[in-house]
Amino acid sequence: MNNREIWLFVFLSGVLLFNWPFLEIFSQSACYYLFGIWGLYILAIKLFMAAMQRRGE
Amino acid sequence: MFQGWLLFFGILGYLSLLFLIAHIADRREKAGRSIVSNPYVYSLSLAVYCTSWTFYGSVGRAANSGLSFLTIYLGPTLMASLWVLLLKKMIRIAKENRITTLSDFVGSRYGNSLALSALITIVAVVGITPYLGLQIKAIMSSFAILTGSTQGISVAGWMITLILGVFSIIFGARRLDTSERHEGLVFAIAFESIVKLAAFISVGVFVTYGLFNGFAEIMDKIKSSDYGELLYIGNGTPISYAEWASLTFLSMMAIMFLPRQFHVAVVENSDPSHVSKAIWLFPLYLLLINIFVLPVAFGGLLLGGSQSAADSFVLTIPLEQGRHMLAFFVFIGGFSAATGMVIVESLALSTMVMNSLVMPAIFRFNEMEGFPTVILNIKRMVILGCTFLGYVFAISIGEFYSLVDMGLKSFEAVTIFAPSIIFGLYWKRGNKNGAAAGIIAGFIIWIYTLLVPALFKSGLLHEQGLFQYVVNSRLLNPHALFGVEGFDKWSHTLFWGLLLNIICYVGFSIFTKQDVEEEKQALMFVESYTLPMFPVKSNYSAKQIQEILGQYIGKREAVEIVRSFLQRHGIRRELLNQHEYTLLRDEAERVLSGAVGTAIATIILEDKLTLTEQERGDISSSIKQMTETLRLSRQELATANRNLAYLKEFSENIIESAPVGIVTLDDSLRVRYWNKEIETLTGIRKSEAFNRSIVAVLPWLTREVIQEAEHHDATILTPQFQTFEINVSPFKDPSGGFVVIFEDITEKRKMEEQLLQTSKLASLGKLTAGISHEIGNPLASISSLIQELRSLRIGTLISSREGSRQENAEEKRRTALQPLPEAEFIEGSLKTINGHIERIANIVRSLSNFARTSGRDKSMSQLGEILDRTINLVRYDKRFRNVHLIPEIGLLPSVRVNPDQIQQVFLNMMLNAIDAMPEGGELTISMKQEGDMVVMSFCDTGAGIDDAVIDRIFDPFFTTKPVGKGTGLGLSICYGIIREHNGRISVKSKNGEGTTFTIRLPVHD
Repeated sequence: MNNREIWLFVFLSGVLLFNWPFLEIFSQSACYYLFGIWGLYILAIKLFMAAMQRRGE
Repeated sequence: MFQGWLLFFGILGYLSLLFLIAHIADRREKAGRSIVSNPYVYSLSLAVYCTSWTFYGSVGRAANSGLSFLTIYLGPTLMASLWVLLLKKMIRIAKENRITTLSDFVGSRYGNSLALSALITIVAVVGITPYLGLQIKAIMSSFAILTGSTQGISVAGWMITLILGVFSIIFGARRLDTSERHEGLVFAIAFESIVKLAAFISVGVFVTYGLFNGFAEIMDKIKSSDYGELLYIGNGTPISYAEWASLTFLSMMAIMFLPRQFHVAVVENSDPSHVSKAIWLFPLYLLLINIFVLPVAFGGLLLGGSQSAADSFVLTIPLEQGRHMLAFFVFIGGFSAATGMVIVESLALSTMVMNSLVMPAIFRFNEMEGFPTVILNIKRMVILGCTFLGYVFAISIGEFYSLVDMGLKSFEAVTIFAPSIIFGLYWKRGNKNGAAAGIIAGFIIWIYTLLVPALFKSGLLHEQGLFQYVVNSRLLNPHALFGVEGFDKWSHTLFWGLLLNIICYVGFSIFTKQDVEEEKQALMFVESYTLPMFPVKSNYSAKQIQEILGQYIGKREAVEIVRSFLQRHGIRRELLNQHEYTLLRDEAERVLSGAVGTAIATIILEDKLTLTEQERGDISSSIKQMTETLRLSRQELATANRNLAYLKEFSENIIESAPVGIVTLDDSLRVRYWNKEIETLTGIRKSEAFNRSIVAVLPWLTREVIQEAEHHDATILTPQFQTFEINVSPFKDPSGGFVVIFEDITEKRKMEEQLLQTSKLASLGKLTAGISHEIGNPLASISSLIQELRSLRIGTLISSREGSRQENAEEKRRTALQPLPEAEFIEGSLKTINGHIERIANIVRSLSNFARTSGRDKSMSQLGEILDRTINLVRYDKRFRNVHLIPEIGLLPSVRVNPDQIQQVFLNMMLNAIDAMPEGGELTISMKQEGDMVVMSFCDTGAGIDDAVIDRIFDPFFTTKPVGKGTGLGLSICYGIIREHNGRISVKSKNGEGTTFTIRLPVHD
């Protein structure tokens, strides 16, 4: 995957995670799910960025 | 409660502190020691997104609609993951085109269209007004809460608006700024972001841990209260999935296209690499500022607060708990959130208004006395106008809406720009007609579905006459356009606005043509062409450029700009060449862009300085040619790409199919390529080896070996007893690295050893044939002579005895029968000599036999019969009497062999076994068929062969027998015979337990 594809993948994954159907799946604990996934998503962005910087992109 | 004057004093003090901070940052920038140009300040400045909506409105939204407030922050978080692609591109384009506002950006993309810039500006001003009103309403409300009175709140609001307007002027228009960036402003905004975050977290901690026992208690209590539904999302809850998705999308657009966000993210960006950190730092800020929203909202409800008053929970809770200082700190935090937004937004809007509406109208009055001062004062008036527009909205319409409602109207408004900007960045054919049509369509939908209902609600419009008929009609109902129902308010406007916007944009772009200027700008924006590709000549002097600049930014500033340009480039005014004039023109355009906008700056310099009709024509044809070249280049590039892909695949196939291990290394000996064969040879997979040092992957391949192999092939024996021949070739390109080829020569080595053995035997065979012949002949003569001598000598001795003593016949006969002592000695010696000669003859015969191991005839023979014959021969050896022979002969096919040679082999095997068992023992001889082979084994129970010598027993002249007992040729001859029959002979032995020789011969020769 190139740089552009990776970021599009991250973005689309986020769109999916923060919307239906995941919200319905975790509807009973939506509050904890949203804050938890939010934190993990930020961490994922940071890690992807760090990996790309290591690759010199 | 607080006195009004005290709060005013606090506000002024805080704003003065901000100004001081900005002043320090400006001074540091001028001294060349910027404290702003780093990703952390950049990320904090982006947090100007968090306004009093976040500070007060999120709590209100959470108390009324539960988790829906999160959409406003999840959208920007998602969008941040695309910043590497989208924002970086926008920054690069903005810097290359000296763009200072969102309207300039859009106008510039569509052929430097002033009309489009003006349209964007109008939409932005109208659309952002509710957002400005939101901030002013929030400040007024918080002021009223802290003073405990609503009396005179309008006057206080007016005063606060004036103060904010004046400070906006101080920050952004105290002089005619020729710079695109304002480090002081950015640093002040970053400071405000810290203040509002600290204030919100303070009140959050107070509520969560001061009034309750943490998050869990608040959540448990709210779950079991009447407000339990606030914890859920979906149909039947305060927010549906559709509304959730719409709000998320709106906030994604807002973070990119709100004028103030464009200003801090694009215009104020000092280094595009800061985006790489901001993509996670900014979402982290949003996460932190939202952690305590739910506890504060739910805490307020649990403490008895009403949902309608939830916008002010952050203030009312500490006040009711007697925490006045905390309340004041929170007030400053909220004020900080609002002022940051108002200052940056009003500056961004005023610059848009100046560049797109005011300057196009007045720039031709440049020769008027004090023209720069006029521009400056107009800009100040525009700033004040923008802030007061917000105030008017706040007091007229704002009181009917929550903070979030007002903010979302602005989000919907800026979403109108999205198709023109996003399509404009990636689709070259998008043109200004399409952009204008799309924006107008979107704006009409926005006005009709959001603003008109708000005006009705506030009483500024009345549902009477035509209005009443239209809004109540089935097709034009502003809440259900074209009779389509089921949307929430925000999804409804978003859907219709975006749909018509995109249809108009794409439709008009397809059916109308771009002009030359649009084509040029489209190339710049979509294909990332840079300005130097469109060179513009300047035929005017530095003095003329300075005069033009002086008309718009003031003479003193113009002189300073030209002087600093000459100084920076180390050139003298009178010695400027054409290229340096062009650079000076670019510098003048950059300065003018900062002051009056890109479009006007271009017009001014084109009119005044540079382009003749001929030059315009040249540029036009140059663009056409470039477009055509680009089209052809793309086709060639696509073909080249296909060829390249084929070549790549072809090369990889070759490397992967090669029967040798191929590894490529970079200059630091890290593995970059690892083919399949090397995986097979080493058992190490590509994924395990990739990007690791070869020395770590294959410890036996040291740097020294690689260096040595660079000069000539190296041979290495691995710890796994594999023998590799290694060839190292350095890459020719400057990046360095090596290609290492590994060839497994383990089998080859074994074959070579066998070949050597065979060759030795062949040579020896030839040699012994000659020697045995040469020795055999004289040996035969000697042997016959000795035989003769023996008989002659005895006869002579007998004759001499007859001559000397002829007494009687009886005596003579008796004497003849009694051997003389001399005769006995001679007889004994001759016998000994003869015995030795016999032994020599035996050796010679063995050698002759050894020499005859090749070139004999083969015939179909029964191996069992050959073995029988051999046993019959051996049976007469007296040593064989103590050996118990156990034959195990199976059913065997006839085999094509040389019977004499095979018999010799069997004989050798059996004699060796007898020698190994001097005290007797068992000799088991088995013969059986295994597949295509006949397997024969000779297993004795003798002394066995020592491990140290077992590998050498087939070597010629090697023997373990005492000197004189063996020639050392027997097994060597057997080896030669069996090899000649395409068979194999092997041995297994254990000291003290015996030896087994196994012979395998193929059934079919």
